[in-house]
Amino acid sequence: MLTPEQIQKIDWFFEDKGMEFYDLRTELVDHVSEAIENQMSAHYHISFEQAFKEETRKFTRKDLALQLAEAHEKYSPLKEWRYFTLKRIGILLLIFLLLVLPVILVNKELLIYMEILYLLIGTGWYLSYLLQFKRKYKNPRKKVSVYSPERLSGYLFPIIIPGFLFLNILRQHTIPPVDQTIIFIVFIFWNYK
Amino acid sequence: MNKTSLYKGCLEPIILKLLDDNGRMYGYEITQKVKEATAGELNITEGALYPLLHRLEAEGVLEVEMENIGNRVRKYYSLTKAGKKEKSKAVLELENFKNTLQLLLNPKLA
Repeated sequence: MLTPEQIQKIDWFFEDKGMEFYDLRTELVDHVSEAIENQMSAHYHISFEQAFKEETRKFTRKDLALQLAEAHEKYSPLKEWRYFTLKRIGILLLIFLLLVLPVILVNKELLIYMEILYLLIGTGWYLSYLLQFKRKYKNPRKKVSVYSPERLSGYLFPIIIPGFLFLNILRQHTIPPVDQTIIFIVFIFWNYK
Repeated sequence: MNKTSLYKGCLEPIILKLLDDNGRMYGYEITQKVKEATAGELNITEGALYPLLHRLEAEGVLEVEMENIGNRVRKYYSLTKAGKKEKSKAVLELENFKNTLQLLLNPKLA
């Protein structure tokens, strides 16, 4: 069985060759990984590096470019919407209701504590996300900054959006408008796609 | 013309037949099974296999399942209902093709 670092090296090989589609790359990574594992178990003297060189040599630039062109041709942005299955929509709405209902039902004086609690949950959630990211890119080949503008906005969103949401509830003491619900769902989709 | 070009048109029925016999398979497994069954005579390249699998998937002939295998994800292919019909048709066509070639190459046997 290959180590996560070795799998990552294979993934980088295809990433370097321009394989931007995740499902396509995943399939090729599995193919090469298994071929390497078989080589290593059949010939004990062969190292991972040697088997890696030999197996990746089979993937010519032309082959990969053809596969990529084909994937581009078949790609439809509409497919992204398949993320919103009924089950996911249901779960998202349930999470939303679980967050909003206590705020509506709770005593007005206690609302500020509810907001603090939610902000703490949001921050904790994103800290775990940060740790996960750091663990995934332990030895980045390219410098991947977790503080890049794109990522930073990703970390701040769960704090800013619920913050605005609850400030609004505090001011008006009403159910948040539909647009805020949509922003919340889009934000989750954006982070998990 | 090399033998790879000769086999090129037969890849689809071969893959459909394999999937029908084995239920579900992943890319590497298909290449090894073909290599093993033909004693190394037919070696399906990755460049030929994956575009074909993806085309068949897009046409609704194949369906896929993703599964976590240790540190990586594996994509399994299997025949859909339409795929089973397509397999029978493709194998029959291949059989007819083989008989036609037999008529040309070895009329006595045919």
